[in-house]
Amino acid sequence: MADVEVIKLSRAEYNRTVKAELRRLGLTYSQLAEQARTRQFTSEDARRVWLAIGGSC
Amino acid sequence: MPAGYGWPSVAAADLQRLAREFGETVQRILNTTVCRDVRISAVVYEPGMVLVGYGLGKSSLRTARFPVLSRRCWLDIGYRLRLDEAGRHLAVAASFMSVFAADDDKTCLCRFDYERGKGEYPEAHLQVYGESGALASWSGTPKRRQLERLHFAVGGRRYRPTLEDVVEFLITEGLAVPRDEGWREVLRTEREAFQRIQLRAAIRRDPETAREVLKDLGIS
Repeated sequence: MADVEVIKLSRAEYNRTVKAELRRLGLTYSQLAEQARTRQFTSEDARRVWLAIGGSC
Repeated sequence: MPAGYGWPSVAAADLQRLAREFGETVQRILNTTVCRDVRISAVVYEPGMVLVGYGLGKSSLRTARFPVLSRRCWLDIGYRLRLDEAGRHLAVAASFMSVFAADDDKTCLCRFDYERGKGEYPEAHLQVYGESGALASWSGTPKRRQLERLHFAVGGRRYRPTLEDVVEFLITEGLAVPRDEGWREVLRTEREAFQRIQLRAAIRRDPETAREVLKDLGIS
């Protein structure tokens, strides 16, 4: 069985990736947080990005 | 495992090792029951945060769907974990386990969802996608009569469904084909290990009750 790949992101790398993910979604963090608050995401990708960044900003 | 928290005690510097161990457990459960060669990744970032799922990378924090054996259905599984206050154990802050049909649109059947600290719906809940005759005839407009907008409570923070539960659901309902006859033993072994971890965590949170139980058993 293949090893689990562990990827370490610096704070700056993480912040850059978060910004890119939000840009791809076309949403601000606040808009995504509102979708999470009501658990009514506009797309599967929005749900996936929230998993990654929820509570981080 | 993977309702999961309360991993073995270690220093905070070992976050990468904890992340790898958690990912290995997820990968092992999948690849010894309903999948083959699914490769799970973990992303570690400050302060003490971990993402675990399929399809994660340095430039993408989004998980991706993957097929089970025979492509009967697709899964999307993701965990966000963080070190606990003592900086020694990983705790799941949020997770989802989604089941999709194998049609062209990958229609979602259901999702086991969890996020700590939610006030408007249960932290651990199940969303089911489909039509509901009952909802359609309900008086008023409960959740605009869409079944998937209901959040069915499933066990709360401590007893929410695990990956083992989802795998068992898929196999017993004929939604996935097991890799071989050993899947029950795999799930039994993984559940036992997870329940020990959970018991340790419960004792840490409530040692007085643990002492009372030991006293009742004549163990001091």
